[in-house]
Formats: sequence, structure tokens, C-alpha cells
Amino acid sequence: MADRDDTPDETPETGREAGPETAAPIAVTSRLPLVVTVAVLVLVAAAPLVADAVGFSYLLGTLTRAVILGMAAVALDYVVGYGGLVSLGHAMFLGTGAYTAGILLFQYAEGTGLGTDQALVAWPAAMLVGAVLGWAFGALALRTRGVYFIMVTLAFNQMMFFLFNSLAAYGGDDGVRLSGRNRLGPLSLEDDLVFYYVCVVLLVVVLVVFNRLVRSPSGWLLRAARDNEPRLRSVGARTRRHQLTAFVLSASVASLAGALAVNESQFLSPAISHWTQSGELLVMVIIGGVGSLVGGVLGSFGLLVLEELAIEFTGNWQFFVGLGLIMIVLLARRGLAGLLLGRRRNV
Amino acid sequence: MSDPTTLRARGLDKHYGNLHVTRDLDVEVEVGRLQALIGPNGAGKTTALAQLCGELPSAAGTVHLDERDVTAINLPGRVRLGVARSWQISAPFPDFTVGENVVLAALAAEHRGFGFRGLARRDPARNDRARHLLGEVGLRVDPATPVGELDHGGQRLLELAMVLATDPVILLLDEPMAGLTPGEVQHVSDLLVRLRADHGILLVEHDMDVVFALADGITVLADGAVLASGPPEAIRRDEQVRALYLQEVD
Repeated sequence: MADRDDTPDETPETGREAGPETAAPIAVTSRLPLVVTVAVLVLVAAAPLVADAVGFSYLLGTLTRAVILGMAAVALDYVVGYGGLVSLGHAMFLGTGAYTAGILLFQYAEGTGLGTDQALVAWPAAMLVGAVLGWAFGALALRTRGVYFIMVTLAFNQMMFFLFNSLAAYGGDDGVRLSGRNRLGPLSLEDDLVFYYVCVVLLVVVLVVFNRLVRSPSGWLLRAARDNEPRLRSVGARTRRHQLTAFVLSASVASLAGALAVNESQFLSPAISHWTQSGELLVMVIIGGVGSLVGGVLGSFGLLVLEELAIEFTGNWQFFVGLGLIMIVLLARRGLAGLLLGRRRNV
Repeated sequence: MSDPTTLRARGLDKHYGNLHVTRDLDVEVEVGRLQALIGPNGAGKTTALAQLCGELPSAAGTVHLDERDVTAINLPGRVRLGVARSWQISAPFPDFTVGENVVLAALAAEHRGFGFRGLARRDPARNDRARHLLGEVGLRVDPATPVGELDHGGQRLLELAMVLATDPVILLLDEPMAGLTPGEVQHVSDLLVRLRADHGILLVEHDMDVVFALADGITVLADGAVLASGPPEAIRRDEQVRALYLQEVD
């Protein structure tokens, strides 16, 4: 639609606001310019090198967690920012991925023949299990909307949390230490820097996929359903189907992030699926910029780096993190991504 | 499957608690005819439309599309069978431009499967059709205009273009002329006359001049029930209708 040269000759009769923005091809559905996403990814890729150069190489673990949780936040943003479905249950998918990959690793080390240390088996398996759970829970949760959807996803999150807690073979609520990371072809994931860049590459793939989805027919219908679902159904859209597939994809990618997280820490624990982790993912999406995808990455880096710095300088770090969050929400209505984009054009 | 030609409702009933909104309603919409549905405020006109299009379930009664019983088919399903309704209150999607709104409606109605393939904005045929429909309804703005910049009349016309984008055979229009300028009313009237050739139209409308100029048949609702139904001349002469409804308008 709407390339500049195929607009009809008639002048808009609603000339009141006809500024340069009206002349822009698709002013309203402006996504973040690609350059912002690329810039963020370049910064992410350079971060360990910079940290190393200024003597903060111990931050590599934190940066890796930021990449991994950023991936989960991007997946969550697709459901929250584009679907308008606020899920307070995405940590259960982190847990699902972590326990899928973690149990496979654990069984491999035990030599029971039921495990594997191959990333190319374990990570897709994590995504598959996450998708199946996402489908089951999503189908039920999508019978509700709004605050009820939040509560139902939270309830499912708690169910999964207590399920993981009850796995005595894997340390119950204490969790269990793993003896190493997955193996990925010739790459040595035991090397923290190599593992970091593997995570970054996967993050790029996830961003490309979701960017494409947002512009697909399904993505358009998802966004339109967010704004007025009954209206969209009245022109024939099966809205539930698009919402469910979005939820399943999101769950699957969050599970991949969970599998990466258990590789990062080499420690399998139900803590990753606690509902407060779901809340933290939501906070990342909000401070990064709801409905911007790459905002999830900005949010996770912002939050984790903020925490790290605050812990460095004060014992009351949570107070200052909270203060920082309030400032961001008040001063940057569309989050950090919105700051980079400038003022939103359509109001 | 060939296109349907008749939407026939028999004995539609709907109530909210003690409030009986529609009772034992019979309505028929046939390709080539424009049936008007009139009645005082609160007579149940909008509820009747919602029952016809499948948005609201009926407590009793059936809806048939030709010989097929579609009573149990939901709203998106009926749109795909060719029944579309416009809304009394315009509600275009604020996040999309004027042209994109029409494209969205077309996507919503046509889409099978998951819809992951392709880019929504990059189908030339669909985009051309959207532009054509905007011209048809007389909305002369740049398709790239944000919907928020449309005035009320523009939004009404966009609503109509979106309904047409679903490729309907049976059109259920809820006061499409409300709030339009006389010029726009004339344009939409002409459009409805053209559409009548290959569509069945049910028109809810308050403007009696428009109704009597366009309608092939008129159904008068009062308190949720059909008070009278017949050709315009008969309705114009009907004592009950005059007493209950027309005089208060004149």
C-alpha cells in the first residue's frame, strides 16, 4: 500500500494536519528503523570486548544473561506489545527449556543413555516442549482476556514452578549442578566468549524471525486484534488462531532462552521459573519499549547492568533500581527504544 | 460452492434478563433487493443485525443462507460465507493507515491457514483493490493517511470500504449514512443502488427520505417485533406504522 508515487491525485480533504508526516509513505505503522536494531546488536556484540578493555571482564557472565533474557523478552514482546496479551507466565517457559536441556545433560553425564549433550538435539527439543506447553496453556488462557489472562498465566506459571520444585531426582528446590555445557559441532561452548557469541547469533535470528512475523498477514491481524478484537472478527478474522500461534512461538523461543540459561549457569534450578522472573521479563519489555521487539534487548541490558552497578555502589540496590525504573517509565513513554526513535508520530 | 443468494432468518429471539430485545423476528435479505429495517430507537434493529451476522447467539430461531442452516456458524465463519455487517460506530484500526485498514479487512476475510507467509503490505492485487474500494465509497484521501486524521464522514466511508473488502454477497449496514454530508449521502445512495445488482442489502437507517428512495421493501420493528413489512407504498399507508413511528419523525 501507499508508496508515494501510487497515491491518487486527489488532495486529502482532511487537510488540517497535513504536514510532512502525512506525505510519508506509511507514517503510522512506522516500525523502529532497521538502523536502531542493527546499532543495538553491534553494541551487544562489542560489549564483552569493551568490558574487557576497561577491566570489567568479570561482567561477561552478566552480559551473557542479558543476551539470553533479552531473547526471552523479545519473544514476550511479540505477545504483549503486538498481541496485547500480557503474560505473567513466561518464566515457566524459561524453566521448561532449562529443565529439558538440563535433564538431557544430567542424564548424559549419568550415562543412562537417555540424555544428550548435543546442542542441536537438546535446544530444538527445548523449543518443541516449550511449544507444546505453550499450545496447551495458551489455548486455555486465551479463553480469557485482560487482567484474567494475566492471572491465568500466572497460575500456570506457579503450577510449573511447583512441578520443577518437586523433581527430587534433580535436586528439588535446591536444584542440581551440571558438569558442563552442551556441545555444538566444533565450537567450544565451555569458552565463555564463544558461548556469548553463539547466544548473540541466536538472538539475531530470533529478531529477524519476529521482525518478519510482525509484517506478515498473521502479524497484522494480531496487532489489529489487540486494538479491537470484535471489530476484526466482524470482517472475518479468526483472531484466536493468530493469538494462539503467537503465544506458541513466543513460548518456544522463551524455552530456547531457558536452555541457553541453564548452559550459562551450568546449574539447573527451579528459581528460573519463579513468577518474579516472569515479572522481570515484563519489566524488561516495558523499559525497553513495548511493541518494538529490540526493546526487549535494551530492557534486559538496561536492567541487568543497572542492577550490577547498583550492587557495586550500595547495599540498598533494589531501591535505586526501582527509582531508575520509575524514571524510565515516566520520562520515556515508549521505553528506551522510544527514546532512540524520537517522539511517536501518531497520537 | 456458488455464491449464496438469500439470507433468511426465522423466529429470532433475544433477551437480556427480563428485557426482550427481539421477538419472533423474520427477516429476509435477497440478492438484487434492498430491504430497509426501520423502527424507533431501542426497537432492536442493531441487535437483529448482530443476530443475523452471528455476532450474538439467538435464544431461538434459525438463520439460513439459501438452504444451508448457518445458525451455529460464528461471526468469522459467516463472513467467509459472504455475510458482512457494518458497524453503527466507526472503529477503524488506529495503528494502520486508511489504505492498510482496507487491506486488513481483506486479509481478515480471505485468510486461510496461519498467515505467516509473505508480507501483508506487498500484495499488489490486494492493494489495488483497496484503492479501488476507497474510490468506490467516495473516500478521496491519500491511502497513506493515518485513520486518526479522517473526519467523522471519512470514517463512515472507510467503514463501508472495509465491509466491501471482505467480498460479501449479503450486506448488513447499520446506519451507514449517519453523520455524512448531503453530498456523501448522495454518493453512498448511488453506491448502494449499484451494489444492489449483485448484493442483497439490509439497511438500517433513520433518514426516511433515503429509506423511501432506495428500499424495495421495508420492515418496521417496534419493541423487538415486526410491526409491519412490505413494499414502501404499503408501509407509507400503514396506519399502525404512521401512528407509532413516522409521525414522530415528521
